[in-house]
Amino acid sequence: MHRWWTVTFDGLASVQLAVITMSALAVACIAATFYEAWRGTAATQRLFYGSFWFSLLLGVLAVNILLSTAKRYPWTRHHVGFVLAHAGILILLGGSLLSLHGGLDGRVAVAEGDTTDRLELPGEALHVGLPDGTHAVLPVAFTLHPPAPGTRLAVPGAEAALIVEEYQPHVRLGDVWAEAVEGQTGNPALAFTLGGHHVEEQGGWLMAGDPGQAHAEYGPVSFALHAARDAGELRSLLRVSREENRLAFVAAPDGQLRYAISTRQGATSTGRCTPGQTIATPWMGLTVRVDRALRAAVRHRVATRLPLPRREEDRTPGVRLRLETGGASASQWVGFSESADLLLNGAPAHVGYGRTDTTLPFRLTLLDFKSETYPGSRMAATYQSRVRVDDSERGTSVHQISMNHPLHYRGYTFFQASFIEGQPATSILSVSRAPGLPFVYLGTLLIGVGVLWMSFFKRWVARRQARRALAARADAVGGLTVACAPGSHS
Amino acid sequence: MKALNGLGTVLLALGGVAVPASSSSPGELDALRLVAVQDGGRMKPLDTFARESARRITGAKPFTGGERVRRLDAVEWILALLARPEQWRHEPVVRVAHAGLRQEVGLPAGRDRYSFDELASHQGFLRAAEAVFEKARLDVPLSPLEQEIAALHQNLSLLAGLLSGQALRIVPVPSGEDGAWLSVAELGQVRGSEPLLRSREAAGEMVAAYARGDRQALAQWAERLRASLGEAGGAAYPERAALEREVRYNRTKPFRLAWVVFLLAFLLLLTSFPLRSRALGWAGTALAGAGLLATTYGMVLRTLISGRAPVTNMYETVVFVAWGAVLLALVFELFYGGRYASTCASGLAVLALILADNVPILDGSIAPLVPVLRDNMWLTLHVLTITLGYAAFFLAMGLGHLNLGLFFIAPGRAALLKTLSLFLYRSLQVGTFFLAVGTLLGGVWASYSWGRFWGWDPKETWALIALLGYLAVLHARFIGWLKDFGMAVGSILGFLLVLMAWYGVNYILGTGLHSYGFGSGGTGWIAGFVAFELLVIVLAFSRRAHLAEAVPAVRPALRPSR
Repeated sequence: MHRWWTVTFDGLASVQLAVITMSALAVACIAATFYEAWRGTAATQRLFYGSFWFSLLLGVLAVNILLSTAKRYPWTRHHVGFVLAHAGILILLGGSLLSLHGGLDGRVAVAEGDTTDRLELPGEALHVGLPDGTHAVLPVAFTLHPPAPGTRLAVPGAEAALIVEEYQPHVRLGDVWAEAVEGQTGNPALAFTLGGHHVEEQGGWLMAGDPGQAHAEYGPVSFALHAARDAGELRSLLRVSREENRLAFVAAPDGQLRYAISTRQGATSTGRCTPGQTIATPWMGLTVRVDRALRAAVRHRVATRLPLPRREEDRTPGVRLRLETGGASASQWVGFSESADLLLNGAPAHVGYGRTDTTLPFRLTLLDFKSETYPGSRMAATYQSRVRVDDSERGTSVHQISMNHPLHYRGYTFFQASFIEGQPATSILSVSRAPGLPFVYLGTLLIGVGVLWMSFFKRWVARRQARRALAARADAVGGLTVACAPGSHS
Repeated sequence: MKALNGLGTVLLALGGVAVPASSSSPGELDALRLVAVQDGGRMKPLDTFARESARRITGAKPFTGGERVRRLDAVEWILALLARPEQWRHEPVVRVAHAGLRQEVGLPAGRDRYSFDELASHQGFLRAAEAVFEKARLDVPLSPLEQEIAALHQNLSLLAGLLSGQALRIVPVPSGEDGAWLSVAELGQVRGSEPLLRSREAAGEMVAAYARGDRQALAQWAERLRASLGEAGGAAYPERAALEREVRYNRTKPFRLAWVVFLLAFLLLLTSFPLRSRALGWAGTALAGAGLLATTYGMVLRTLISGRAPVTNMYETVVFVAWGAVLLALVFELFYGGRYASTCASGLAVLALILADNVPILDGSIAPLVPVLRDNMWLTLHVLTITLGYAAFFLAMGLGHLNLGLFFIAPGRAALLKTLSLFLYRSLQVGTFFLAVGTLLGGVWASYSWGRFWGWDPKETWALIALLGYLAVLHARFIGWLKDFGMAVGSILGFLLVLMAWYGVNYILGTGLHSYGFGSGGTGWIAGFVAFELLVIVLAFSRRAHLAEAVPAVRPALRPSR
């Protein structure tokens, strides 16, 4: 009787389909929220809200709304609310789609006094810096698709490549220290533990000649390890002062370990020490034990694989990257949001693993950051950032960004998201660009007016008409009640 | 009288003085009630602080409020603690309601009240508290029992602060980085300022007068204390009118008054049906209106006290939903009459307000807001609209129960069923309108505050789920898939979705950006409620199936009452 396309059109435009689609969406959302409580936001976004089938459901709903609205054309006064509300939903969905594809969400982290134009985006990336100053960002998706060992990524704009030697979804990275084998160059190193009556035991490694590892600070006391090449240097390194609280270890040319304690109070001492020996200090009963001493140590970064946590966002993935360029190569483990320095034939380079980023068309300087608490409590009341924007096109301007008072600038919106305490404090601003927002707002307005019309005005209009047919209606109500009485439903 | 060297001296001197046992609700303390205390991030009258402390320490029980301690008015109790700390250390006033906790840490069995000294020196409890704090320090989530232990420890610290006077931060001298006021205990250290010296004298004399039982002197010194503290604080001191307003709110307990009035209204309306009494019906409706006024009065007072719309925590939204349901029912009454809607709404309001008044997780104290909730018009609009939607769905749920009840008791009353179904349909329409607009306004707020209109955060997703549920019900009615029975079932199932969006996201799922409202507790009750509702639905279906088999005995159809 009907042609197939009429049947299809009627089906797609039917209220029946609307009820089914809405119920299906509701069920999908229910499942998604419970899944999120269990497995975290990232996995839920991927498996539910961002998935193809979820988009398909929303698409079916949009088609259904579009066709059902079209089907009732030509519209009468009776349809005003209906058309407004349904067109509003379509415009809202369209606006969201536009923002999804043409917009961005990211964040800017900037410390007081610093300037940045780096906008961090949600995606994963490898970062590489070559000895010649070239810097490149290589987008990856390791969380979703763990790379096979040996995966080779060319560094764009350079004769270099990054090789993924190993990837672990959740690791703890640590250092292992060992004596250098033949062919390796090492530096003196020692492991020590602090103890004492009122001190929680803690320790660490010192390595002479390593800028990041030759010194350590524990409270008001500093520790250091130096290597002396000759007797003169040894004497000068063992010299004590009364200007600081310091324990200096010195690896003597003969391989022996010496130490010198300087204190502000004036009680200084020097001596020899061997592994296992505990040195008493003048600082409130603090003791220092030398656990191991290596003459020529090398440090290896090792990754300990950990059991996967339930939520993706609780993971710390790590990757061992080898950087190859011009015949030289070096490899290192890096954890997520970390970078590591490498030496390629003696020239410094670095590799990193973290978020992708992009540059803003202007620069932001955090002038100052303030957080206020409610009087007499530690409850946060407000936090705000004062930023300067340096824009080559529009010049320089100063703005205030606080909770609920974002900065709108050239299509970007900057929100006060959070902050990291410290001196200086780091402000974290979330940044978005949503080109579809005007449509979303228009859709919102239309839905509001449309539903209001359908629920209330329409009845008021209808009642005026109904008064004319009052007598007929009395009969109809009687008939209807019988028809709807219990038992007549099935 | 010579100015005393400080309150400490007074307290020492009072060591041996017997405290007269007074149990009246004394007007002599009225000035003391209006002394501002800095506590929990805001300035509150001592009256509020005393009541909150009493409730926390002695453990509020249903229907009593727990605002009297050993028959002492809360403010008088605070004074008694200052006057005779040695005595009160031994009084068993700290309630440990959690039986599992008492057993776990090995508190003496057979009672649930312990003295400060007993708990503060109890090794089992101290060890347990230590372990809990260690866990909290490492950010390990705490089990309900551990949360109870932490809470008990906090209550003990509060009591210690009350005994020493250090918790009573009434001296308007900001100190330290956070601008904390000085406490009564530190009053002895203040130097220089004339009003502060007078405050010190007044505080000492007031406690001494209380200890002597000299009520007249007590009143005088309390008044002087208030005046000199106000003078010392200058412009920063809270206005007397504001403090008086809060004390009035504490005293009148408008929401408790409201549920009593609603209960009367409900009973009158209920009896008006079998008695076919229009007079009773009118009286009941008028009482429901009075209850609405009492609730409105309470909400206005709360708004003035806190300076924001009264919908920022579970307690306030429960009250607001009760208010909204009654308001909507009275509007229906205006248009359609019949008293069904107002009967139903009065009953629901009693239920909601009793819950708000007595369930511990619904904490009625007024606290400051987290930054993201502050000074935002969109937030206020969003939450008010959403909550009005909840109110309409609450009413619809109640009407749904009436409808299903009718299927059980009088399946033949088709006309009544039609009337109730009309109310139910209208409630669903109103609710859907407000929920849709409120959810979208939430998007506008999120766009304004967080930078995105929609992000599938659990709270917003659940608002959408509830909305989709109700939209599905309304559309299904439109094509005849659902009739009166189906709508009644739909209104109940829909309310379970609302409950999840309202309570469940914060208390069951506990994830997402709306974390400022998260908490724990009450899950068992909610699960019980959900199970009960599902049982109701199953029974209704079986009843309907049974009726469908029998020949329907339909009474002559009546026109819906209008």
